[in-house]
Amino acid sequence: MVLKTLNAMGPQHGYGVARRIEQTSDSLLSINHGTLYPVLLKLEQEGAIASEWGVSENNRRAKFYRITKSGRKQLESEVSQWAQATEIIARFLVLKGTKV
Amino acid sequence: MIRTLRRTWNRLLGSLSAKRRESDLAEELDSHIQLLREENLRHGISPDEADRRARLQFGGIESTKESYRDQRGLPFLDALAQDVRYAFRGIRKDCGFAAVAILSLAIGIGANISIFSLINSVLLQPLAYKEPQRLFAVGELLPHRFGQNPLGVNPVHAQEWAKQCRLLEQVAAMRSSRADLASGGVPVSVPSVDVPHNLFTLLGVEPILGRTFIPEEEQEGHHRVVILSESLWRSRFSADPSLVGRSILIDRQNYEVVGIVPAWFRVPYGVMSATNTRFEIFRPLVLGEMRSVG
Repeated sequence: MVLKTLNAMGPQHGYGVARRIEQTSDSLLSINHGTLYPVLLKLEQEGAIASEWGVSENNRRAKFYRITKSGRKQLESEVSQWAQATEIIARFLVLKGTKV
Repeated sequence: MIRTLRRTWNRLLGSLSAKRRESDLAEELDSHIQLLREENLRHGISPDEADRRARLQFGGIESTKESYRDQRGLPFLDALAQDVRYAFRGIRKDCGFAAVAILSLAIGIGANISIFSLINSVLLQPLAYKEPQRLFAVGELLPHRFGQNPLGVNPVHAQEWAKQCRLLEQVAAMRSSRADLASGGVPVSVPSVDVPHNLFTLLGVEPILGRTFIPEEEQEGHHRVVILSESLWRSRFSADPSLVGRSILIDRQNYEVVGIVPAWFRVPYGVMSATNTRFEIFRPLVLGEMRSVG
């Protein structure tokens, strides 16, 4: 979700990413914003995203994250894996549904 | 795979520059909370309440930092560094105690190493000779005159043992001396030993060049032959292979070089008196001369 958000919105700080995830999910997913940071760190260490300091809309110093080339690749492969997984699950559910 | 490697590498770097990253993290999280707070203020919430809600939305700041830290570095490395720092603080605080502890460890380790190297060379490593278990050093005791101190062996006795004692396969008596070597440079005095012709076969030593002594060379008149150690041959005669067969000047006499023995070869001379000389020159033991040998 973080990768997708950064891919769609361009460079964002942590707050922006958290807000975006909440908005996209229509607030169905309400996350503790704090939990986002270890995830961002992990992605950065893996090289999927990069960060640099910038100035936020309220004129404060903030760290902006952007997706990298390898991050886009990772996003693509995870999207297709997710599609595959949901498709398989969906098939099972449909099969059961017809029998019942 | 590459992702994991890259991540591990970055975590290693993270462990090294923890301090700067710590302040970065605090600033980043703080800025996030301020953004949440300002958003709440925009919704017309009172400043105190806005602040409270911002913190609620963010979740535990300290727990976030904690899990961030665990991911940033390698916890194992961080803990190790912490322990080392703690240890050094402890040492600085109580120097006397630390000195005693370190000293006793040092003495313990040192003693252990020296005892082990002794046991290793004396008991564990076999002697560098053929069939060392059948090899004995022999001394003579004259209790009424010299008590229990072993003495050098009378060469006539050695000869008789070789003839009559059937338990002994071979007997080799030796006598050490020094030899003045005049050939191959400035004259020097080097440790020398007179040995019987059978010593080399008895100990299983093959010359690297030439031959060992033959029985006739133990006779007066044929005994002006010499075997050199490899180290002497290399250092003084530049490892010249044509040296074998040539004459060199030892103790103002001409001796023909007949062979070179390998550098590792040590004559087990002085076992009883616990001396350990490295002999460079070997000459035949002529039993016409009646002197005590070791």
